[in-house]
Amino acid sequence: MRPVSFVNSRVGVKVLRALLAGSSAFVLTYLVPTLVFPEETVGSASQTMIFFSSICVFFSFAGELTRGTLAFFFIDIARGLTMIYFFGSTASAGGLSFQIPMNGALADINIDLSILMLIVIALSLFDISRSLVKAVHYYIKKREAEEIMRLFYAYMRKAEEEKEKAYRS
Amino acid sequence: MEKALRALRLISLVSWLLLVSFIGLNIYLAATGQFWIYISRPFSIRYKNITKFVAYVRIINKGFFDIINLDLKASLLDREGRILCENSTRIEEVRPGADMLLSIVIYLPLEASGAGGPLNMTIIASMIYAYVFPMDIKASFKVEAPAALSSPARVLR
Repeated sequence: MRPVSFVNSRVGVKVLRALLAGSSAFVLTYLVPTLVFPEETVGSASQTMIFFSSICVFFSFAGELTRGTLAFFFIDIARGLTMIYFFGSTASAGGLSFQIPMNGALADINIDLSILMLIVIALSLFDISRSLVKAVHYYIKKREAEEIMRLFYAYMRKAEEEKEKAYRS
Repeated sequence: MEKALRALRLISLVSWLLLVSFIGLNIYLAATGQFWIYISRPFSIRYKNITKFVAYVRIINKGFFDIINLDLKASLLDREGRILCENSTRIEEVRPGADMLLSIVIYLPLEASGAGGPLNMTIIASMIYAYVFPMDIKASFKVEAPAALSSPARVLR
């Protein structure tokens, strides 16, 4: 009965941490920008912000839930690829455009984010490759630990058999 | 291997932090008005059948980064959207700490006087801010054609 409750409490803590990570991602990527930036700026970019925030919330939640397993690294890679897709599509849409009143007329401001997006994509690719190396390293370490345990059990079994043989003789 | 992974993690973290700080700093500079382009409403001056349309452009750069390749272009369009005349100027570099007031002038030639009615003056400022933010600011203003130009009969006389 005790091990089950121990496992349940560990899962509970994991889910709680994942919920906390998801909600903090939502606060940082959606709530804070809507409070900080002027309404007219956010209004024109709200769809993009919601999309970006959803990506961050989902991957923070899933990443925290799978922490300590091999799936964590694959989620990290998937996050990098999704971010590249997101930034690529945002940059190809022409960057950030908004209007501000200027002397009784409306001035159109268009900021081309393609150079910035290239930097972000380069950093994301670096993170993806880092996650791949981490995943391979984690897998090798896991297999190594399994192999050591297998050898240890085999050695113990052999030692027991020898002990039993010696006892019989 | 662990050391290499830790070093890679540190490099990634520092790079992301630098990028986020750079973007945050630029947003802060723009939000607090330390980097600002202001285009004034154009006005006209008429002298000996030549009409000049003048607009002022104020460029404030109190931030840390240069504005490079600043192109100012003004065009005067008639009601149908045809360009009557245009003028442009280019500044290679606006250094940090600058507060410049530039005037851009368009001379409306007599032969373009057939347009009549209100005209549209468009001013476009294109630049690259902080080396990674190419941007365009476009403002359009309705300007009244000079009295002599709004009536073809009077021009012919």
